[in-house]
Amino acid sequence: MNTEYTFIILADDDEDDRLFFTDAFEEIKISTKVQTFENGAELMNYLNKDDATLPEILFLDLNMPKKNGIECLHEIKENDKFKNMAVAIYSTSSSEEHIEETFVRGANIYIKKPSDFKTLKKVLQDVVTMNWQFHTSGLNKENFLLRI
Amino acid sequence: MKFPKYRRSLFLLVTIFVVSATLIFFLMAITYKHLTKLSEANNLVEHSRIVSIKVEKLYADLKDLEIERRNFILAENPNFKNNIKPKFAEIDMLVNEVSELTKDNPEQIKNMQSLKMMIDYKISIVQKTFNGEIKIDTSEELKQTLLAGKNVMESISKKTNEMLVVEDSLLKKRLSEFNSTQKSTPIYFYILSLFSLAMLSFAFFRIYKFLQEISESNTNLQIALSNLEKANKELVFYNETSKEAEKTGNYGFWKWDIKNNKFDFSENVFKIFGIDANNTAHTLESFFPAIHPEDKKLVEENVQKLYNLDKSIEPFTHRIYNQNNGELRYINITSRFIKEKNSDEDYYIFITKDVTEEILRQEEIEEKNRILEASNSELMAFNYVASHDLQEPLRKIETFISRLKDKDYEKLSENGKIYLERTQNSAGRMRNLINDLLQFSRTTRAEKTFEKTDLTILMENALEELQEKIEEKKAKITFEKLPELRVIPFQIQQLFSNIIGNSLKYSKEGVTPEISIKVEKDIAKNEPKPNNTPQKSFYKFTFTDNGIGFEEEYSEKIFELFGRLHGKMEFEGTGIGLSICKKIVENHKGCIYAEGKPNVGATFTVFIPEK
Repeated sequence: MNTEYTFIILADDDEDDRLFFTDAFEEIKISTKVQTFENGAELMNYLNKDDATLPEILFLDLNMPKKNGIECLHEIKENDKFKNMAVAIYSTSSSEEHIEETFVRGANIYIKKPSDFKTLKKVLQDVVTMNWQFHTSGLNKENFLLRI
Repeated sequence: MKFPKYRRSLFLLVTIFVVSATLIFFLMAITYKHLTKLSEANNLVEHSRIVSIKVEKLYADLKDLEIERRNFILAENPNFKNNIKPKFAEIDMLVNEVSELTKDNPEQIKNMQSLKMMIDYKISIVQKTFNGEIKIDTSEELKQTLLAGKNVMESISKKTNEMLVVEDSLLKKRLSEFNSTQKSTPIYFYILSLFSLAMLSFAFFRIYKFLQEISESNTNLQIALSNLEKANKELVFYNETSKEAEKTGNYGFWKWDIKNNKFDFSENVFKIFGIDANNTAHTLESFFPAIHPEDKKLVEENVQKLYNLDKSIEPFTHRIYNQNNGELRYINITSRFIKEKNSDEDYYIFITKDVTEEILRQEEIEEKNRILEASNSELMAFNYVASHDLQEPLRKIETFISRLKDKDYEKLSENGKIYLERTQNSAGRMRNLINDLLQFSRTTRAEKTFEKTDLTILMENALEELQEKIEEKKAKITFEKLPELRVIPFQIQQLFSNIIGNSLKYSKEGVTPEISIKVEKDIAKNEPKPNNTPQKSFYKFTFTDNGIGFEEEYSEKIFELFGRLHGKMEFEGTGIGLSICKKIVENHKGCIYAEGKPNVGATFTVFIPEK
């Protein structure tokens, strides 16, 4: 864990979303380092490398080619290596099934992609500054879905 | 109908008749014998009398003869000879007669023998006298002969008296016999007549009673006959009615008498098959030619079951070709085994019904259903996917617009700013539309899990969702304690959210919106609004607001998909919200309706069954 900056990874197949994401973090007054991946396969390849630097928070899109978010989540939670890594689901969908399934599979929080840039910045700021251990221990379905 | 009694009665009567006839014959025989006896007694009496008379006549004749002899002796009358000849003849005759008459009496026979001797002696004396053989010259000789004559006459007289005495006593005896017999004769007659009369009376009485019984049973027969006639009339009527019913219902009725292996088909069965009833035998085989070849096996199986007296034959349907017009028809056959209680004449009854219409209609409906369902699921899938997939690009648009606004708003021209504003508005509307559509499609999708939920919590959640709006309008929302019901939680929450959101949206300008929510438990029957669900007890939720209300005539339009009462400039909205509410309520087998008064407010009533 690097105290200088927070390492954040985003896996999202949408180019525009990746752009928004990185732009937002640039404008947030937190020192962060952002890395993005195009799909689940690339993400897992990186994470599974022995010398990989693990992020503090992983933002995971659900709909991705090659390997989707659910599969990644599954793999991640199975591997002890990633147990200290917070996983935030970052998706356009707000369907009950997705929320339920990701909750069950051990994601830490579910974020519906906002459609307003200001809101996006706020959300990301909140998520990054969240005290994860505190949050995780009292996690239930009510506060799983991030209320904007 | 007392037949055995009749038999018995008849037997009795015949017996009595035979017995009494026999008795009467018997009595008649006895009486006849008695009468014969009487007649005989009478004859005997007569007989004795005649004997007495004849004996006296004989004595008289003999006496006459003596007198003639004496006359001859004294007078020497020459005519004397002529007078005595007939006398001899007569005496002879009488002797013979008396002998004849007394030949049955030994005493009299003896007497008669003695008498005959005396008479013979007498006659010889007389003859001797007339022949001059007797000397009558001297008075001594005269005296002697007269004396001899007198002596003979005396002995004859004595004898005849004896005979008369005997005969007399005999007569007395016979007379008494006769009298006694005569005396008892009437008794026989009385007995005979009384007995005959008694039998006659008895016979008459029996016959009279018998006739009465016959008359009575005749009356009973009449009554029974008229009842039978009545029953027959009714039967004819029912028969006709049944025939009409068969025609109307397009079914036929038939019966199989098992014991006699006899089938009986109603006319309509033949009609259904298109077979001429008049020229066709009442057998199962007559109908086989009409059966559709593919169904022949099924029919044969059931026929076999029938012949095996299987009591569990299920109703079944098979196809036929109507023999008259070649049409393909569907025939349904139901059967029932009827066990006769008091005889061994059990039978089966069958109903053959032409169910072609029903089957074709059913197939039509099923086909339509299939098409509808397929279409429906396509639509829903489309709806969902479209809404979902439309969100993506929309979100991008909104985000980019917002970024533009953030970064380069100043660099825009006046027009540019306006255009940007308008673009953002449109995007926002599109977002609402998509959200609502998505919501709508979610409420109709198959996954509906009912859970027992405290509705108060759902209400509180909904209010939290609307928190911003509530604060903005400073609205006052009051609600009672809500029950716990088996519902789909997210849908009910949506329902509350939409209705209350509506009330907030359509609030009066400058007036603090007041929304109250009330709950009642109710019985469906008491409600005026049509309610065609089978549930009996309901919870009635009433949402009342003091907004702008609406005209009563639009109370149903507002629930239509995209049905709005105001333009999008006056009030934002997609027109989907209340449709979603209606769908949600329908999912819960409930009912929703609205009442409004323009400028006063609106009331939304929701019924949810207790389940």
